[in-house]
Amino acid sequence: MRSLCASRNGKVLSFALMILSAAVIVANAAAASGEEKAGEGTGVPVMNDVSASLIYTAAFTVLLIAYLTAISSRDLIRLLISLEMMFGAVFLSLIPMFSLSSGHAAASVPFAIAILTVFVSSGELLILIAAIVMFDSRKKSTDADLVREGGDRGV
Amino acid sequence: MSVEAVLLSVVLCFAVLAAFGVLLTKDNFYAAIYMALMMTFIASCYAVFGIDAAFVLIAFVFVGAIGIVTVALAATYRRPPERQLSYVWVPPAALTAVVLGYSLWEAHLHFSNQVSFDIQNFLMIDRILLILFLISLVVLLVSAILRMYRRLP
Repeated sequence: MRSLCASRNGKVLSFALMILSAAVIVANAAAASGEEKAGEGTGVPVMNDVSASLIYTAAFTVLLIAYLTAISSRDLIRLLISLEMMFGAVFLSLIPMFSLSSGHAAASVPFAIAILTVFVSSGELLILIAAIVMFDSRKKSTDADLVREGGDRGV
Repeated sequence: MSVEAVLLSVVLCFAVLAAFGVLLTKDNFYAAIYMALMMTFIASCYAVFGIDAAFVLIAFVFVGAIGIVTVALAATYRRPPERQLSYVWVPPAALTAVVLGYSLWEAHLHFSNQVSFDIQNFLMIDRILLILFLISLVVLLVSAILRMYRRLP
């Protein structure tokens, strides 16, 4: 049963990789057409109501899926993955901020926020990864049910 | 709908599908792979709007570093696949999604500006210093974690 499940997941994963390759090809084609249009206009996609609504809807969906994964996870690895998904939703919701500012000086503010978010969240995830490794070395398991008490007791 | 909007919806759909893959798969290893795929699609959204620097940052840091470490962790601590989705929490999550969707529908967002970003104007000396400080912070963090890990029996 396990090998069947792994095989099914492998097929789904291969399919997803194929779709990813197709998406990259389409993105390259779109970028090329955007460069062609650059001579006529600005060549930068416009952030309108439709795009912003699509992005926010996807961000909320990913966030809710991450919450659902977190509250129903039974081990710490799945908890870590759900936390990374939450940060992914945050990155999605940052995209419309790039259109709210005008001028080059103001346009770099969202990017500064994005850099801060990337580094702070990656630091937080690094700490969680280290905590999971230490937890496993002591408890010999990553089961979330074994986490019963907290607090700093020193190493 | 313009070509960019269609492309954006396709990339966002794949990101949401990858997120559902994380939720529905039983094996942690595949969940980590789907999470890396989802982050790649999210970074692709930045690429669609021409914000290449953010795409590179997310792809390198989140997919390249944190994502791969998570995949390695999930592969190392691999446990027998079991369903981790608690169906009890699905109705509250769906209700929250409906409330959020309704509030989004009523918000009447107005975005009429173009996305404007230029990395050359961003890289001033104070922001380079900020990036250097952040990199130093992460290096210090990793060294502290490694020191704590070496003390373990």
